[in-house]
Amino acid sequence: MKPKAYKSGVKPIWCPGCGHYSVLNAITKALSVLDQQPEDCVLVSGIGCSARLPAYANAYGFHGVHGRALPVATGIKVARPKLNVIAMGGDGDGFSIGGNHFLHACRRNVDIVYIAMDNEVYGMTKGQASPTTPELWDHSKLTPHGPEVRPFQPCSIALASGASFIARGHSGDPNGLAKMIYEAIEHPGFAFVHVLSQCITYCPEQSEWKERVHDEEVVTADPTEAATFLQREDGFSKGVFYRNPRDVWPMPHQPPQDSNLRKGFEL
Amino acid sequence: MKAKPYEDLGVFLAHSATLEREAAERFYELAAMMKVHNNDALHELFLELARYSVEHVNEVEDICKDHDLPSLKPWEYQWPDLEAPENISYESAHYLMSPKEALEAVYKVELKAEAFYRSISLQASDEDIRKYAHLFAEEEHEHAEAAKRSLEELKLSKGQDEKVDLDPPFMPE
Ligand SMILES: Cc1ncc(C[n+]2csc(CCOP(=O)(O)OP(=O)(O)O)c2C)c(N)n1
Repeated sequence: MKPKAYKSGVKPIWCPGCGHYSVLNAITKALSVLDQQPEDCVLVSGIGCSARLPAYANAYGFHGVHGRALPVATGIKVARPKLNVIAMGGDGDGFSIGGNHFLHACRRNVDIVYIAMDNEVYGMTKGQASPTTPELWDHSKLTPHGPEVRPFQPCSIALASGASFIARGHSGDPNGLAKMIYEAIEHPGFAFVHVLSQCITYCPEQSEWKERVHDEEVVTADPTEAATFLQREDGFSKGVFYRNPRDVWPMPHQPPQDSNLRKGFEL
Repeated sequence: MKAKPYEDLGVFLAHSATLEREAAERFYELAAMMKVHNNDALHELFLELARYSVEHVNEVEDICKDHDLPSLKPWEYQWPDLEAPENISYESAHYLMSPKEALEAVYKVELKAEAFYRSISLQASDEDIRKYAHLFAEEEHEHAEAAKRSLEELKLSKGQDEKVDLDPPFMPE
């Protein structure tokens, strides 16, 4: 199927200029390369502008509760392991209200993909500071001096929490992002794709991201090397940073052969 | 590494077909987003451009019918930039985009598409690649000229570039 066939008939209501269009474009391209049947794929989201994406795609979709995309995606994957499960949402959805789920999803290493569309702001609720907002961003009346808190570091935290695939893409490069999403889907285990996805309505300065983003393909399986890189980089590196497949949850177990229950009930 | 578009007719045609198809899809997307945001002037403009682009998709696909095209992954295309040259980038759109800004964006991508085809027509040694690349470059040149003429017409009519936000994004106190 061509990428266009993975778009639903529902037209996005995102603002013109929004980076999320590019993420939708990249997802449809990745699914097309995989020749994925729409019924073999589930897109799961929470709440936010970004979380509207499943409605715009031709696949199963679950537009759930704010911050809870990952537990829903985990449940779907565990119940239906053959499905390609892609969770997604914004920086508010994933790192504020859903922050705890993010840590444990990385740790648990279920075979799903998580795409975080980071615009460093709560877009849907009209431009409040989020966990990734720069310390001195003073555009919101709620934080007139900026949040004055150090931004959350999604990739470092994913690494520390045990994610086995970590990459960062940019909405200005939908073809490069499609490749990353394709690789994330192919990766066995929890694959985290952090996308710098601009919101030019509330953060017009983000239109300059295109000039700031730079390629930095550091594919390593060594967590120390990845951690050192992530501590040093400027947040605008683009590439696959870490890939280290490990046991995927849930582990396969044989049912106990000699349990008392079995012995007692067996005919 | 796959052959370059100026070395292999199939690779060249695969690039042309994708360039035209993506341009048409992007114009339709821009038209749809402008409709949602009540920017009717740009909705009409992008829709018209999308329709012309579809004619070009058909033209290229007609030529492709008689050739073996390689199947390229989106990231295997050898575009001079991050995206196919005739795509208006997502981030250059805005709900307050004026007809002037839109036409400037169109002019820019048509020039980029022309340059893409032109450089292939100059580098190719294959007769067919040269012929098609030259033909497509001329077509893109005509589009760029048409966008330029529309921009000049626009300059004569006043008040086209005023930005009034009738529904500004509201940030609660
Ligand atoms: C339980 C709950 N709390 C708060 C909200 C309000 N709310 C809706 S979307 C959102 C944040 C959206 O920001 P983000 O996740 O960054 O996505 P974006 O809209 O920027 O894509 C919030 C706080 C909600 N819907 N539900």
